[in-house]
Amino acid sequence: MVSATVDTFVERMTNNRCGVHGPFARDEAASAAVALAVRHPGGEIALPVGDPLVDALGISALLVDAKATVLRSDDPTWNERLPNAGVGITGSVVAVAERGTIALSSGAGTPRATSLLPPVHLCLVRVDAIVDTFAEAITRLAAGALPSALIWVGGPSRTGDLEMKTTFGVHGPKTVEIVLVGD
Amino acid sequence: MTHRVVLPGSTMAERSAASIADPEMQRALRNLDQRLHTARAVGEHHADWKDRVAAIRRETLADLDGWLERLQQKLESLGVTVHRAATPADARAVVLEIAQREGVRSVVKSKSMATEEIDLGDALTAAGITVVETDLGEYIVQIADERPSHMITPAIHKTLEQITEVLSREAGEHLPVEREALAAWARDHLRRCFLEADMGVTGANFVAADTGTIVVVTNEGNGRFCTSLPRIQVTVMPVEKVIPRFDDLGVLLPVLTMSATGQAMSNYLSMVTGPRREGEQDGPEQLHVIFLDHNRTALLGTPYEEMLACIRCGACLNVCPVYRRVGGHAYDAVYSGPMGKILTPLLSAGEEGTDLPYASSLCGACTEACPVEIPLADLLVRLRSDLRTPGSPATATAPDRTSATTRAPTHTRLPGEGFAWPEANAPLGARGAGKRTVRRTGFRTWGRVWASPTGYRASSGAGRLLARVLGRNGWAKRVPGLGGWTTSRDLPLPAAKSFRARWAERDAKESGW
Amino acid sequence: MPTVALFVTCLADQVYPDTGVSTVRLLEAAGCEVVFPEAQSCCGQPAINSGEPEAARRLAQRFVEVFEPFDAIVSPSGSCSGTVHHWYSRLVGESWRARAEAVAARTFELSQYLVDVLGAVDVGARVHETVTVHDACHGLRNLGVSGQPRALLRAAGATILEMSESETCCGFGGTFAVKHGEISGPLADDKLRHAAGTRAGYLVSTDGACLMHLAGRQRRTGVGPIPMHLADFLVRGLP
Repeated sequence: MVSATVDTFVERMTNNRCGVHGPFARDEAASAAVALAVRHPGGEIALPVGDPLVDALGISALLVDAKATVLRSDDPTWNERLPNAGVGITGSVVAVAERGTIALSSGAGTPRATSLLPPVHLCLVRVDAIVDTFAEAITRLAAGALPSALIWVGGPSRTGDLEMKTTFGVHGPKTVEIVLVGD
Repeated sequence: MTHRVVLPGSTMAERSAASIADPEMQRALRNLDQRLHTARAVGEHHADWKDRVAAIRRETLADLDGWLERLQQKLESLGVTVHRAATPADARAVVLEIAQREGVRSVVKSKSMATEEIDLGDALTAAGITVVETDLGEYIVQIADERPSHMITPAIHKTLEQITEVLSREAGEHLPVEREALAAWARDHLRRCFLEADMGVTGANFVAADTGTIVVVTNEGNGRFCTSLPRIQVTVMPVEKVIPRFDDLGVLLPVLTMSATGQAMSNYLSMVTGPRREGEQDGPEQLHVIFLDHNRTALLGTPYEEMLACIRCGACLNVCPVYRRVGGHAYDAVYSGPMGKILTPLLSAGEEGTDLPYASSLCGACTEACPVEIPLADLLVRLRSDLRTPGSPATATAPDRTSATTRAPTHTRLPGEGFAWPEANAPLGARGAGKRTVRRTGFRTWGRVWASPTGYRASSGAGRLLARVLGRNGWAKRVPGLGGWTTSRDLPLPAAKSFRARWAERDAKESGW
Repeated sequence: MPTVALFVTCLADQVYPDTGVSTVRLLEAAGCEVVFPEAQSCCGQPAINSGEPEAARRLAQRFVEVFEPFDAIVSPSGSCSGTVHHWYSRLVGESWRARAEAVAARTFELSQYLVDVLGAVDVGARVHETVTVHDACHGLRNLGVSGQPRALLRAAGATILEMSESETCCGFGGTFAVKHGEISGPLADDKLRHAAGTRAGYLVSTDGACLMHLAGRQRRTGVGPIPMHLADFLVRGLP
């Protein structure tokens, strides 16, 4: 059952033009994420310092090891430099298989724009945070305290405004890489 | 600056004819055909969701004042400033006041029909504030100096060549007629506006009363920009956008998205609960929500209350044979299509768009497509009567609701219950007498005459006599007073022998026809 | 033998009496006894759609009085029978409501009555022609008339060639056809073009008003197969 949910999620996100990687065990997930992040040249890698999943995987330390240029969200020049960052890494709160969407949460240390301004969004998704239906995800979120912003991402920014043919990369990221994190 | 792209004083008939005669418009409109069966799929595969969504909307309307009161309290507890605007002018004044007080020089707008309704763009520009539409379709029509022609796909009426021309003028260079290149140019150009803007203005798809959460739905991400970067966010919320519970989004958002575009879910959802919090680096420092009434609460308790259930999915536009043929501009109104034909006269208390309800063949495809089960075609029929009747619910204005008054909740109406025609006959004469009275009297006379067998026979006989004058071989090519028909079609004439006559003959003969 | 009261409709009575005759012949071929209450008139739809429900109210009350003695009321028009269903109980006034609801429950469009009520899909007609079907809006959306005409056609040996957008409005819409001829005409053209695309010999529907509009247009353009009422089409194949 769990596997069917993940399969559906992978299929949906792939159809939404995301790159989907894994599921990996924890440590492998961390190195896979860092490898994907450093693959994109040009611009710093923007990293939220308050994201529980990013922290749990030790992404920050691995990026340092990889000698990547990192922009941390606790840097006083974060807002100034973020528009020129190349990659934004985030965790996520919950994901929905049936609809192909991932919920990100804003907070102190997890700025909204990390997944918005850089052209590449690298999103860590825990396999056990994938639910089947949107209604389930909403009910789960409603049970707790809501953050100041819950942002749901389906894939790269798209528009149908140009004679109704889907065109990618309008305002949000042009590339979305999802790294699935297992146990 | 938004201008009307229509000739002043033109009628819907003239604008429709112009649109039908425009090959590029017709070519562009055919792109909408791919959404013809989109809403039907929702009805077929998710019928129970449709019922739930319809019920949630009516639950809201049964106690709209109560939900708005609860929402206001919740928003204020989150540090959101709530403003109640009875009219578009009030709403504009609120935004301008905030902008002036805070020294706002530039505004970015996420796609919002409500801001079109209150003509906010022009007001801000007139005050010397730069306004940029960020939804690509809205941006295109903004710089083309037009109104949006569809609530989901605002530039549906434009071909790729036309879009390229518009964007090239703005860019000051010849952009290639190529989607990716146009998207890339728009991304770069609009990004600068996003980063510099002092204020983000949004509408709201839904606002949850229990959590105070504002939901903005986009595919492009422009909604996210408007709610993340500027230091001030102003959300214009027509009062019917309130929903009882955050949890209702679990079914509302899938139904909205599936009905609007057929997608499983819109690419981006922004769910904003309060302004930026302690320690956060982005998000608005100040968050304002304007509850916009504009005659909406005047509809509560009337058959038109149903129209407030609308979730702005655009499905009715996509299936309407008229809309599909003439496009949104022919309506010369903020809201077009079936829902626009109803909302325009209602929001203006019978002052605008009174001819719109007649621009319908009453085929009922809109009613069929509507995911919240609004009896749209029936409301159009009702409007045809009410707009001719002084003092009808279609021409009511909202009482002063600047104070938070509470109203005892009325029963939750079931969708499809439909309205009953009023039993008392509408008065003749009074306001707008003259032609209206003649017409009403004429119809009532016809009804009386035809309800009597002798009257019916007599008038039918007269019809047959007239037929002999008008045409030949049973068809007429020209009939006085029916030019609207005979310019393009022949009209069959009454038969020499009516069915009645032939039946009577058969009865008499007892041997067949 | 079931007794059916024919509600001929003012359009058929005055302009298309053949359709009235065809309706009777088909019902009789299906084993019905048909009666024709002389005192009948118009269903009132033109008044309702013109925003004059008071005029329609009289006609609706008349209809109820004339037809309520009968077990089944059948018309060759989905829009007229549809008007009875969709509007009457809400139109006639509280004191008439129950009677109107009862009569509406027994009022049918012809193909609906034959197929759904009588179960008479095969009435003995044989017409080996190619035909395409226009799903007239009010019959479709108020009464659910869709499969029934097709079942009758197939049983009669006709080959149905479905047009694209068979359910899209033909553009008649009552006064719309006159008030907005600039839209109504092109919608007829669209329908006739779709019909022509099937190469069927006949374009069949269950609403005389749609057919009047399409035939009237076709006489000017020559595009598309001959529009014909379902009843008239089938009756040609009766022995």
